[in-house]
Amino acid sequence: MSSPRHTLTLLCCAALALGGSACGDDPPSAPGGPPATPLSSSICSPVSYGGPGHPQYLIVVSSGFLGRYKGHGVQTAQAAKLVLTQRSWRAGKYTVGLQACEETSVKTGLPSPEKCARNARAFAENRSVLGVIGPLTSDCATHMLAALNRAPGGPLATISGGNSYVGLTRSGPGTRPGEPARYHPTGRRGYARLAPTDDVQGAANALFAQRNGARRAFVVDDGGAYGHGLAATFTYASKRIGLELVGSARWDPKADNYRPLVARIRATRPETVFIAGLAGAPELIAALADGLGSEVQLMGGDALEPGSIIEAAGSGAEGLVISIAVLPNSSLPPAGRAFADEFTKRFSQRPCCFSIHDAQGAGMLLDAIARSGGDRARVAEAVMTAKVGGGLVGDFSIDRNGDTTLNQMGIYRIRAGRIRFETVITPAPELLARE
Amino acid sequence: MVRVDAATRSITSVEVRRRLAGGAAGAGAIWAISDDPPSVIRVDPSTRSVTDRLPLVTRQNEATPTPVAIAAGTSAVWVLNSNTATVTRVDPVTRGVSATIQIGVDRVPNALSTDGARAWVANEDGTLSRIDPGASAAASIWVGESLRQVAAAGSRLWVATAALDQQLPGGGG
Repeated sequence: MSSPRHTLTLLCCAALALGGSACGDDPPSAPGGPPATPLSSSICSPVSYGGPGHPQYLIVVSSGFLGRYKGHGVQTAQAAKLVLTQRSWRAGKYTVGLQACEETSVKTGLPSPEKCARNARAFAENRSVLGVIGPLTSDCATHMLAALNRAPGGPLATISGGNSYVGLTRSGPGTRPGEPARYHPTGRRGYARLAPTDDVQGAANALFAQRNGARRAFVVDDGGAYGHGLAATFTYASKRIGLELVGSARWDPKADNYRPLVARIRATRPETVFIAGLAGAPELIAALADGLGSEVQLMGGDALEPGSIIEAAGSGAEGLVISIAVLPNSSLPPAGRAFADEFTKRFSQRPCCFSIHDAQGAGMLLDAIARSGGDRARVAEAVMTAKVGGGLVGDFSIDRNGDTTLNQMGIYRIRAGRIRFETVITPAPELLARE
Repeated sequence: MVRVDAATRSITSVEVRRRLAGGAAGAGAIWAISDDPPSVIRVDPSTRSVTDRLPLVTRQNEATPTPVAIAAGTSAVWVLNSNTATVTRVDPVTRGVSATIQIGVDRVPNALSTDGARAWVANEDGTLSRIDPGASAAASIWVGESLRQVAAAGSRLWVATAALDQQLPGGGG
């Protein structure tokens, strides 16, 4: 995930002075109370804990720490550690530690279904784990949620900052048969998410395209749960606002090249192409930019990672519009701005991506654990009925499906090789695929 | 592997028969890593021949370490495996793996160096991890931004940093 716009700096440190410990960096010196059982070191980091004695319980971060999304994983873990630090590694009378677990394939750099399922089983089987922050992607969630839901004593409370595929929590355009019931086999819900679902994202993109003069749109998706669902929500909203859909297609991430697909799209004379998916997206965007020219507005959802797109497409990435349910830090409510300032001070860089959402999720888990008596089901119940006032991302509640009531979508554009905030769109309720 | 004589600029090849991913000099030998299969190769600089091939794993898969960097100190050879976020310590006397030390997947280790005695790991999360000789765990301290490279020079360490927040946002869906 490299970008030509990195700021590279050389720092010099006196090696002998580096003996001090940063919060959560070293294990505590003495145990206190029944200790948590760590998750296996073969899949997760060592336990981070900065409180007295040992942690009694664990929350885990499941994210990507390799490949395209490693920056997201790093910042999610940092955000969770900062929340735990601010709360002295406590949830009420309980001490809580953190482990981070990898869900990315070494080969693809994308979330691995096998690792996602493996993580979920490991979390469920370890009774020290009372909450999960993650996973990073909706596709990974489809491989995790059932096991987390069936966790002994559970469901195991899970809060994702960025999962957006509608079918994880309810039915709607683009969702698959059996969804969402297959992810919640016990009938009790324990999965909540803090970013608006893809019906908001699809509608926001359709609105943005229309406001920028587009009348003819083409939709492509990668066939994954997230990509297919997002494409369906864009289609749903486009029909309602009068944006003509001139075609749709599925791209094959394993294709040798995208020339036939680009030719097919070009023949429909679209004014905008909406790209929904993860795998192979940078290469597809490079081919679209090359084959369609700058007159056609390329846009896509929050799985598009700017660094890898710029690397693949070069100047062809210029003008690409990306939606993500993350607003600039300056647009956050006071609590969010204060957290962002503290994050920046502590980690020498601004929080990005969904790290503020993940910090919000960490705080909600700690609030729930504080009132749980160490009982997984009670943690999940508290999360599913949460009402947050003065939160890091605003005032909101978790609805009966597990979704946030917040509906704001940030629109960004790549300009001069950098991702820059463009505007925020809150689609009208009638454009959302809600039952 | 190729030896270049700094004075005469003459070049001598050493046949290793493995794809190499890095090399280091120290502890009386030249050391290289291969990721296929994951292994450390010891070369005797005087005879210019391979003396040992030390396997790092018995069976290679996604969960086993894949070496990406190597550093040789006076009494240990250190190997960074970024996919498992671990450092393997190789004993240059017994020529075997003496320990595997976790850095932590959330730190995302990028680079490795040694000051002769200790190993230092530069991490994407802005921390610098120190592994003392004989230690079974790493101690990490905060430096800042994202650390991409580290070099030890006497009692000082130099790290190259990058601003992660200039690349994002973007999400995972």
